[in-house]
Amino acid sequence: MKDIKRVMVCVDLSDYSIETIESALTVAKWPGVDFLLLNVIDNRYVDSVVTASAGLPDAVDVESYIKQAQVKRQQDIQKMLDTHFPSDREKMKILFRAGSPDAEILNAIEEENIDLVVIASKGKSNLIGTLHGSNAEKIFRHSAVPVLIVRNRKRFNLNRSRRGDKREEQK
Amino acid sequence: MKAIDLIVVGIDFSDYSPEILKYASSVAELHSAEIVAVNVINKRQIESLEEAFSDERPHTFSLQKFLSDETGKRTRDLDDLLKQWVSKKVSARAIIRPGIPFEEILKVVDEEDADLLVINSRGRSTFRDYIYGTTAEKIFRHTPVTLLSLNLSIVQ
Repeated sequence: MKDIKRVMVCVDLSDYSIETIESALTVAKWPGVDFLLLNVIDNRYVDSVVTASAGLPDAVDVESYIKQAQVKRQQDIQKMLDTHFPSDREKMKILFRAGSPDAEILNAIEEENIDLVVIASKGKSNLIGTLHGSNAEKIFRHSAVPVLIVRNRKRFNLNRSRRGDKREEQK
Repeated sequence: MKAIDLIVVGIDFSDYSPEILKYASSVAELHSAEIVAVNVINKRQIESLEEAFSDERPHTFSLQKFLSDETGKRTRDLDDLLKQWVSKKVSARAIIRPGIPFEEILKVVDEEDADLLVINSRGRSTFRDYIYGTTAEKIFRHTPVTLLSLNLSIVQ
């Protein structure tokens, strides 16, 4: 088995992010592991904001929008880390990329020499009754390195029972 | 997830199995967790055997005997694998069951109240063009716990 040195955690600032980071820290407890938190600024949002603001007086272009989003997200992630993971703070680095999330995550795995990727089974497009996110599935399928797909048993069961799952009622 | 007490590992006796066990053993050692290795005797294999025998030589195939022989053999093989690849400091045991692979693995996860499930995204059907196994895909969809999928591939 190859030594694990660099772990990448996909952080989309959704409800699942804290748990995803927590699980990454738990599973990859090997000494000397660095954590890289990756946030992808989704092309879809960038394009729609730029298109929507085109006719307005304070129109934004792609670069300045990405820059603004990055500053805002940097603050959000830092706040989250300071509140929930103060003791592990120095092991973590934050990385931003802009583009399509699945492609950027897969590119980052290669460019950053990642040994393990951690991703939540759901993220921003969190629909009740949806078992997993499409990005998580793409990473699971195409990643060349091990993937840890974080899922919470309690939350998962909650969703199942809302869907009227009989197994849950029998318990 | 803050602690890991029990890790379920899906083993199909393919070329990837030693590597999966090494990985699971390394994680288990960090948390002093127990390893439960699961192997499933595929229902498809059982059914095709039954059918073949009933066509060729009726009444010579005993399902019960086949299952108990096969379970015994696989238990020995799996115990050997565990002895060879899992660290001595980690306690590990083997479970062999007949059924549909992904269903039985997930049942064991439920019954043993596992914290982590480890599989490889490819298994026995190692075709070059296959990106992942169908069993792995089904496990990914339905697992109630965190999944560690080692995307090992020997055909590069």
